[in-house]
Amino acid sequence: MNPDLAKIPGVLRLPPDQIPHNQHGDPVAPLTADGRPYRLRWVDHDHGDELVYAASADDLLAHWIPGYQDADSDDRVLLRARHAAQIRDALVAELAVDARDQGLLTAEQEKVLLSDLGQLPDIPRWDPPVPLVLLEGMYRPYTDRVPPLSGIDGDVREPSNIIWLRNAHPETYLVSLAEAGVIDLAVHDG
Amino acid sequence: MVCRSTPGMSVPMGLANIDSGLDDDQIQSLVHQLRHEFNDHHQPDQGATESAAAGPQGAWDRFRNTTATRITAHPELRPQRRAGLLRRITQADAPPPADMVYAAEHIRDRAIRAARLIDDHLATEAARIGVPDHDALNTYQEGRNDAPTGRQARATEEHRRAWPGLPLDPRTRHGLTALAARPDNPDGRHELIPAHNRVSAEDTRVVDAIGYHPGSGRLEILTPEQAVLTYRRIPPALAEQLRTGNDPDRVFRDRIQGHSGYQYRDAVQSAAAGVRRRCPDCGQFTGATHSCLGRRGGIRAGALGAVTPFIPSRRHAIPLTGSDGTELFARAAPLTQVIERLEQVRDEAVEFPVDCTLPGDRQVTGDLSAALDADDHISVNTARLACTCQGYLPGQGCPHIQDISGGLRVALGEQLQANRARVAAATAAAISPPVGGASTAPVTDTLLPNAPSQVTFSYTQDPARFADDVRAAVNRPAGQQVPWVAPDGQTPAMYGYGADRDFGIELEFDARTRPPALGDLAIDQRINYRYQNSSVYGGPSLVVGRVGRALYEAEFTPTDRQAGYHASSNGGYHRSLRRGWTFEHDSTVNGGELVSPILSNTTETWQRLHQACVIITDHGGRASERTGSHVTISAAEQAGQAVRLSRFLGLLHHHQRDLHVMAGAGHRRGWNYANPMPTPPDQGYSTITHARRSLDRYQFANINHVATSRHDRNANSSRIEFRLWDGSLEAGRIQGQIKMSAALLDYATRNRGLTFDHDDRAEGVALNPDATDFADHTRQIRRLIDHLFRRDIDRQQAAALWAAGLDARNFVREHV
Repeated sequence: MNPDLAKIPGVLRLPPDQIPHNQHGDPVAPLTADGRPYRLRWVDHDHGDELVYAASADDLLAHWIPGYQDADSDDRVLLRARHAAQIRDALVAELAVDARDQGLLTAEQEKVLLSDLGQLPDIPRWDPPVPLVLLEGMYRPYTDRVPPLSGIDGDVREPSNIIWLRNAHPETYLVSLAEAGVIDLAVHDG
Repeated sequence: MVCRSTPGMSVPMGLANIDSGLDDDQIQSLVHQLRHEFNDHHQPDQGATESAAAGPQGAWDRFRNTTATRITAHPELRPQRRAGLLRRITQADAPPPADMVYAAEHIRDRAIRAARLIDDHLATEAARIGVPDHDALNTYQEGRNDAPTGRQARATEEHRRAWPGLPLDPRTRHGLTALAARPDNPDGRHELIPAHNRVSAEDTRVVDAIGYHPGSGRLEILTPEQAVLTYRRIPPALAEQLRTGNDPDRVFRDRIQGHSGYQYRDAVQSAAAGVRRRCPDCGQFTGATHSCLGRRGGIRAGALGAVTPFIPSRRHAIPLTGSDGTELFARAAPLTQVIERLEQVRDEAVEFPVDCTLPGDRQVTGDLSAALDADDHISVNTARLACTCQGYLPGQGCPHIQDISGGLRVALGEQLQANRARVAAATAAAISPPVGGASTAPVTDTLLPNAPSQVTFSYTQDPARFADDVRAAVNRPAGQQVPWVAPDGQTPAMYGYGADRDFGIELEFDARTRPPALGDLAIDQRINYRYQNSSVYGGPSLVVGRVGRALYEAEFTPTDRQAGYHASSNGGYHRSLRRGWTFEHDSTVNGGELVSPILSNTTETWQRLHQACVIITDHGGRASERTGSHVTISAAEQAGQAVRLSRFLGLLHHHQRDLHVMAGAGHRRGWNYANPMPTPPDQGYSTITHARRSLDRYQFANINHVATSRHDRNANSSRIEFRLWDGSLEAGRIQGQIKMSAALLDYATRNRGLTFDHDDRAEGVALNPDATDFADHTRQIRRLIDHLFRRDIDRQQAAALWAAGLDARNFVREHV
């Protein structure tokens, strides 16, 4: 978490027992300073399930990534990519441990799974059920590199055995983290 | 009809009706949903209400202006209707309640989406039931027509869960219920593409045969291994290229594989779209993603697609070139933000405000809709732009609007490519190995201990379990609070993080002040003469002599005499468990210090360590407030790696309050020789030397033995000395201290993504496992133990180590 929380105006952190109530006494979500619903709600399970409301994806990212708030758009893209690379490492570590426990990978597949992202070979097809974790910025349409096919689901956007961290855009990145099970996120579709 | 009778509300509801094709009841239902949605966020007793209360007038005025432009430019309104709507929205200057303003702003878009959802729902149900679409539609319509009249019950939570996003007026609910009641008919389901034809080219590696359905654009590629790859919206020409081209593999690779515009969302969607159904509008057999030319937008939806409005916080001046070469400046949303939204809602439109002043005082204002299609082509819709020139006609535009929209379309295309290049460059930079060549690989042999998790519980998730284990440890007799993990051939004492590291231990002890008189123990007949004569009545020397002789006889040390201070380090460390230990003088205690050889995680190591503790205790040694256990862990990988070392020191600093509790052995030892950790710099230490300067050797951890460079001749013998631990001669506690030290170092080393949140332990509160707030105050240590250990017994031992230090915590140590 970014220690400079006070500088991020679009973020509101609430302990679960401090959720506001409406006139009927029912718990309700808070509103932004201009009276609109917050776009995102993240549940911080590491801190007593505190609820963190953010007006935008960039606000929530600023809450996590030091320097993001004051960065220009180019630097934000870079900070997001670095964050995604870190998350990928942690995620892969967990997946690899579970896979070892269950004997789901061959030695060669494990080597690919655990590869340095910068030296990841082109993988035509990924068959194991253990998800390969990739950054979308490494592949088409951002580069000429062709993404791997899923040996289980074929060539679909969200295959069950490939986790895409969609680092190109702030909100799609957060949603991809949620779909990967990294964060607990709700998006207000208003 | 409360909503519609609110002044001004009939206008957005009427526009939503026209644009979505939904009827009045459905629109009304969606308005209610929106109002509830707003009220679910409304908090009258908080500050936001004040701003919300101040907000409706501004928001309402903004909405009225936007709506007036829309009405002016709406292509489907007849003049009389246009004038009526304009009059109503213009006259409604008093803002309705805030929830109504919110509903007015969102109803049009919500209605269009709801119409699409109904389309999807009917198509999905038709596939489930195994009937043509028109059959499912008939059931739905008949259900609506047969709905009871009069006042009906409101939609329940169950309805909202079953049909999310749909209008839930009583008639629609009745229709949906009638449809849901129809049983499955698997026999009615047929494949949309029943057969695949081999491609013309020979010896292909991916594309062996294809099936193509022109109506929906569905393409199925059969590989030589008989796997099926499915795509949607493939143009017929592309399918033909695959079928007849010389190199279909290359066409596939270059134009289809991984193309998000052609991919289904997931395997479920792909399978559903492969079921054959007949379109009720055009009569074709079709899959779920049919783009029908015989209908206007959808089964019920109107001609306009879903639009995501984008109201930017600021506008940029964007230079454009008119068709006659004149330079224009349009003011619009930052294009990079527009592109980001277009990519998020690909195939749907994003609508953003534009205005431009042209020569001759003409003005183009309104909203431009842009959409990004599967082939990355950007299209624009100018229906919501209006111009003040004489040639302007609603729905048809004028040359000025054409100039501006064309220029913006080109600018958006350029921005799309620039954005992508930026993302690609940033991603490449983020995943490149850092300067110096260190790997950014997540795991292999460095990030994961080669030890599958064997835990059956989590202290993080089960604080009661932690409290129970703490309670059990506290209630055990003194000296046995921390259990000993006895290794055997199958069960090592250390497992997971740190288990592969070499380590060493210095066991300091004081001598009992009143040991039995000389001659009371059999060993007294054999102790070195130096110690026999000096303490006839007992005392430190006698204890030193007894311990020295016992260690010698048990083959720990090469001699029965106590060596000088730092004799072992001066003479070099050994690995031999037999005669490789050193019994040294230490001026800070009156007993001495047993220094181990370099140890590793073997059964014999732990047996010898246990034996050493017993020997020292049995012969008059004891732990006191002056003794410490100095644990040294090998750390060759830290040599020259300031980032790595910073991470480790950060971990110690972050958890030092709990580590101080764990370190306590109840002797009220001060921290003269184990000072708290300084706060590491935000960006970490820049060099090993920088870190060394910030810490002295009498800190929590001594890093003076970490080489400053990987190329240093001592790099491989780099090590870290943990000085925080209180002295102890309890084998279980010593084992716990070693395991904790090794795991902390190893965990920090392997986890490059380690970040530290704020310390969430309350300061100075009583840590009592029977207290109700115990779980809150122990969250941090529970999480740490869970992270470090991968077996139940290790977690329990660490919990016991923490519990055993609780007595000491109210002394000086807790208040770090």
